[in-house]
Amino acid sequence: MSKEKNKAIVRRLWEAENERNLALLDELIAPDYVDSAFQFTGLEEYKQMQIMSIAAFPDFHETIEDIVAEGDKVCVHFKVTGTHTGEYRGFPLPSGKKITLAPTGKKFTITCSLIWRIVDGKIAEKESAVYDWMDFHKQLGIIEYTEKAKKLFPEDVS
Amino acid sequence: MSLEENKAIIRKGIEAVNERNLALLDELMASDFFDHTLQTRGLEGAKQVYALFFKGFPDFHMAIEDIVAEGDKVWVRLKSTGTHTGEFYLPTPSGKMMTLAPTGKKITIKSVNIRRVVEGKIIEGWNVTDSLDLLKELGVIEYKRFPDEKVS
Repeated sequence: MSKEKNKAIVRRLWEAENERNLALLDELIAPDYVDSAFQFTGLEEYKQMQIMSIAAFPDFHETIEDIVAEGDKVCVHFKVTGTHTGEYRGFPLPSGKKITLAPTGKKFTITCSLIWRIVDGKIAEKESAVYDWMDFHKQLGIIEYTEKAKKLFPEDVS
Repeated sequence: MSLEENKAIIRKGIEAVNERNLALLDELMASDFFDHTLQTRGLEGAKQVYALFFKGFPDFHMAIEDIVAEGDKVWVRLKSTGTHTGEFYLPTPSGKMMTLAPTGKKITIKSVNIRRVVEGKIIEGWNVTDSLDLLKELGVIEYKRFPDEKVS
């Protein structure tokens, strides 16, 4: 597969997710997909994650800012915007415990960078994911500055 | 320049930081390097940020986990680690600098740096940085308690 074909597959994944067309994922993602970033396997599990995201952030939209490919890899730099108006299931606390986060109504924008591997025209693996979690959790209001931080920069902490 | 030559420039830049040889960055980066994420221009500013990390984390080290190139772009995925044994100056949300006394904590920062290399020089960049662990370990942020939430 050429690099351009591999990039086209990843661009179609973005379109499918933005259009909530989960049926199209069957064409784009390998059944034995491996998510090395979030530590799970399988296309069905990938779809479940999408369903959870749609439930939590019904208006979420992903915009590709940059995409490059080399060999079997496709790297995507993108921005996600959305509003947390639904239940956010499986939110991992630092302790490892997963909770359901009730809707906060907060709007967010986050930047992310993913590296995918394409094999025989299908997305075979998400090799890595870097998200600006700090920014995301701050916008949702689920982390806050500590007493120490409030003393260090009181002008920034209300 | 070939993809491998562009990657070699990025690798040299990372090595220069790990060896505390910031002078070498003058050869690798354009003096008017533009950081699109921070919206800052200038190599000197970029060097100052590294100097702050060296002071706060004398053992600061960047490990290349992956490197990918196409056209004039090089993507490098990094895992940076360090131990907070020196004073660290952290920009506050309003852009002031706060001083964090050493905590002795070990930190990890995951990032993807995207760089454009033109005629052998790094001219501009974009970053995605996961600084959650850094700020948590330094005791600047904490998670709210969720007593009323259902555990799934």
